Amino acid sequence: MKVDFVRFKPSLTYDYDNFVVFDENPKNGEFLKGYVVKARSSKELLQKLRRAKMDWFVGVVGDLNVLKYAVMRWRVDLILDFEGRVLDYSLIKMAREKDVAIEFSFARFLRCRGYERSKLFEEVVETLKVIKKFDTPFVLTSGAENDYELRPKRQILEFFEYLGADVERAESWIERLVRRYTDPNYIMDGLEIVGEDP
Amino acid sequence: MRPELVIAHEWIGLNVEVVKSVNPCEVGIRGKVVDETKNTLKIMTEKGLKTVIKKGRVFRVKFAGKLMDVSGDLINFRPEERIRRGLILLKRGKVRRW
Repeated sequence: MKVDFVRFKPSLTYDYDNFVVFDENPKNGEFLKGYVVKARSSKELLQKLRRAKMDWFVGVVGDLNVLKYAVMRWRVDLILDFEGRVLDYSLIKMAREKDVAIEFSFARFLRCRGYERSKLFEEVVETLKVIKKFDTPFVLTSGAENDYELRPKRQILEFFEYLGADVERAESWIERLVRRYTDPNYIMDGLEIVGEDP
Repeated sequence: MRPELVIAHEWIGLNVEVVKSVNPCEVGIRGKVVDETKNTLKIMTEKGLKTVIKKGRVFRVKFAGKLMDVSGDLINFRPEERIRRGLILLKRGKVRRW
């Protein structure tokens, strides 16, 4: 299943089966709906989480304390990739325990240059090592905000594989996350309805 | 009864089939569960009593009018703890709720 997480309604589809469009006010459309929760405090995070409908993917943006609080909430599905995101060891470990995915977007690399880009490479390589250690759920996406930042799936996977990501594992996490919202026979990991009792 | 409650339900008396296993000889074992321990299920098949380890296996079980695939890792605890641990797993896990 090829699904990408984007921040706009794409007009190009490349080889993707579907898109999850993240927005602060998700609207009905042909794509899956993602709800971006931007919060500066845990109180604001809780208020915004209450607005989330059950068929929305919920992604969180905020500083380290807000992310740590967000990971503990059942409703949160993933930590979005944004400029200035800080992930530490304990957050990644908690994300594993609470089954919250961490997004790595290709678009962040496109938007920066020079020294900033080299620092980003360093940060992502280190984070991927910690994620591999704890087997934390993570997803590899384009994170595009416009059509020019969209890339084919293969290109994104090759890029992050070079940085040390286990791309097969990432694909299994993204499939699991999408099935949770789209597949009526999927209940939880390890529990699925196969058919009716004859 | 909701299908997901199978992991909190009593398994003795249910008809199960092993559909996936790390031991390929176990795939296809089918019968009624007659006993259960923390790590194993004892299944009465046509060929006699078979003891199957829960961990790493996937069991196909009929429950609440549905045919379900249940990972053995989700039921890998003592039967007397089944209700409490199963309900906690459903409450805390990322379960589809709509």
